[in-house]
Amino acid sequence: MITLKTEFQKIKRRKIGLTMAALTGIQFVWFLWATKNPDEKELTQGWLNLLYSLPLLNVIMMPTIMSVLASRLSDLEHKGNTYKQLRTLRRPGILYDAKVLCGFLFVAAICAAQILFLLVLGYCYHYTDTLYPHYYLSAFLLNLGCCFSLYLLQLNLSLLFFNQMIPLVVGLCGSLLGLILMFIKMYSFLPWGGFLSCTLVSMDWNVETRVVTYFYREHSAIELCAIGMVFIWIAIFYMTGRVAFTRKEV
Amino acid sequence: MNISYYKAVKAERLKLKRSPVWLAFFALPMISAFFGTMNYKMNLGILKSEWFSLWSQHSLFLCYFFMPALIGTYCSYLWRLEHTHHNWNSFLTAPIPRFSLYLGKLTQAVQMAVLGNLWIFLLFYVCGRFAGIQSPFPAVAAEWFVCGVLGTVVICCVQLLLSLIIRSFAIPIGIALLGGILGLMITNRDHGLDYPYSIYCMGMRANNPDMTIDIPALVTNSLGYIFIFSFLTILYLHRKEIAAN
Amino acid sequence: MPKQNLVETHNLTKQYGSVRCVSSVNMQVPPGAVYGFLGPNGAGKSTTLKMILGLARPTDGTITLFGTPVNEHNRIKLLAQTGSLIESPSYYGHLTGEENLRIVQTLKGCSAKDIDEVLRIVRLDAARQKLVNHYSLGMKQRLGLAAALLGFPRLLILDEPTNGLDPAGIQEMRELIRSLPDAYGMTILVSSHLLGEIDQMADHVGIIRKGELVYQNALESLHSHAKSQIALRVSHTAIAMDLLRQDGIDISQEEDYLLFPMMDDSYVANLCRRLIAQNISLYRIEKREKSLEDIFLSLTGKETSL
Repeated sequence: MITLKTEFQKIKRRKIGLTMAALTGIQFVWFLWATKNPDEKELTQGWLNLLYSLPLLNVIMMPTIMSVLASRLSDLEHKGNTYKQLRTLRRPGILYDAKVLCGFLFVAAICAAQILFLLVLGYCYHYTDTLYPHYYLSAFLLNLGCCFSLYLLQLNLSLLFFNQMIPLVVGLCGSLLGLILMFIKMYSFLPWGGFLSCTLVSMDWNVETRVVTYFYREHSAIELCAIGMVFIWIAIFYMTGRVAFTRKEV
Repeated sequence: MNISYYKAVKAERLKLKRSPVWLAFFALPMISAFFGTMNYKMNLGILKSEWFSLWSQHSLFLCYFFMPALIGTYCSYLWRLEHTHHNWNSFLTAPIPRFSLYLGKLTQAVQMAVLGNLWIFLLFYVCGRFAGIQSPFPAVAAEWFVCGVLGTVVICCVQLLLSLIIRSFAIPIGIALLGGILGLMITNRDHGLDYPYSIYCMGMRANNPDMTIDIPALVTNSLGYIFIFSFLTILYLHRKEIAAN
Repeated sequence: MPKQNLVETHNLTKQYGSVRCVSSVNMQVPPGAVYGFLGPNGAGKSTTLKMILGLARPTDGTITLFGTPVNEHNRIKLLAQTGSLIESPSYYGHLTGEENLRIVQTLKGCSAKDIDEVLRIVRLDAARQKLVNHYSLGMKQRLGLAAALLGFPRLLILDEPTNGLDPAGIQEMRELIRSLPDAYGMTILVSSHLLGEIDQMADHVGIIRKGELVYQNALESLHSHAKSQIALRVSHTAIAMDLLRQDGIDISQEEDYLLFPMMDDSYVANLCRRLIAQNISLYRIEKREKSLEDIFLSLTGKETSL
């Protein structure tokens, strides 16, 4: 607990909260832009539309946001060359856990803010379809899982490499990969594909009438596996990261 | 001036030894090209304009979101060399005008970005042939390339300024991503050429190869932005006591 | 005609907000000197040196290098004749020592052969192919010095160059610095917070305290301040004091001792005879040294720790 407190003391004046707020804020602007001036048809499936768009926007933005967060939390140790001192004060495993937890709080705040924003947005537009709270709760939890797994991956890379270009580039490549996998309809078992495996809403685009219809979807067995994979990724990244960090020579 | 510029460029090149950062510029377009081509092959039913269809598959995400962020990463890396290990002291006491020191950095960034663009077009050609497109390679792609390069230089200038002022490695990259996303919205409202991050996508005709654009406006705006951001960077290098913090 | 000073500052001042770190410093570094810039930590040494190098902007005052007032236009030309090592050494950790020097050599535009020579001077020739990340702190410091020496500049500015070195390394660094003026005709401006260190390598000294240059002269004249005194304890202090005053001697009392400046043997012998003649008993005659340390402390203020 004290170690976690020191994590927050360390990032004082680093404006991490502000950075994360700005990055998430842009996503909100994107939502506003995408949902502006809804017509009759769009109002009748507004809540569905929001849940459909969320994973798309997340797969574009979240890998990079997570890599920024992780790099921000780790780079101060590289720059200040502080590992040597910290290692004498705490067991490395505890230090790692504190970084994980600190990041988790940020991730949770971001994901919660997203869902809250969507709810406010929907109420303001007076969407006419039924709001199913449990879908939004699921969306929050699944998003949190996906973001957290990516955060862990990025944290591991940022802590292990002095050169921060490596984790940031991995984040970018992963983001692109996740996005493209969606287009070729391969719900992947890669960590960046998680957002899309966890999609709760599907759509049907009629080529002739150019009408889009959204619907809550049933997950097939293989997709449920993919959702399970998100949590397996969390476990894998956490364990490998902790071991690697503990064993790292400073 | 000329001789000190040459020295600065050579010194920058020496600093980049043993850091294979170019791999990123190699890998990202590859991912985009590979999956873009796959998607093209799978959707031949709706994608009927051969080279142009393939190009939209290759360039869309890459140009809007990923190239700006990747260039941002590289610019952050270039300044991080000086932000760490007290290098500002030696960087600024070198007998080289700060103007040339900046041009040295800019040259590295632009060089990498141009090579990245060349690679994108090379992949486009190879993938097109591989996908069995029979018609000749569109000559207009040369224009896309030149306009794209101009847009790239604009992003380099913006990102070099951001990464110089913001000492964090990651934050300027976040800004680049935001810049790209905002660019998407601004392009949609037909102001793409007025905004530094979207000149690149406009020039590359990402997503819409049939689009006609106002080339003189693109060139003037690009040169204007290049000048403004370079001027601000050089001003900052002169005014601010960078080494003192 | 006196030779042109290599470094001259006039009323050099630096203010951060309301805090004056450097206040009206008039520094004069004569050619061929090893000028020791001495002061406690935080007295303004680094800031002064940074202003001389153009790394910090003076709030007020002027700087003259090689007889030319520094401005934005000639800064680069003057820097080309200067080598510096400020605070901690600068280096690119992912490159070898030799590659780091190659970068500096490129920027300074000096001969590639200099690299071999400076590596030899700082005794890093064996480690030239090693990544600097794997260097010890002392090796990095020596690499920093090697970079400063590249091109064999007329003026070398070194800020605490013995930081992080082991005792043998410190000794070696001092000897190296002392040898540079004769070997390469360099003038050296070196800062330190250790008086003993400056005493060993410098021939000129400037002492800075809370941003003000409180002393500046040849090191010898600082030594001359370190005068010895004679301390005398007798049975009748007041009578002895009168006697000495009649001789026109500057005298002071410290507890039950009388203190007066060093005199030659014949005067002291004569004084003893006269005291005994007046039935005054002589208890002690001692020689008291006022050390450089004492002078330094009195100049910089005892309250500041070194």
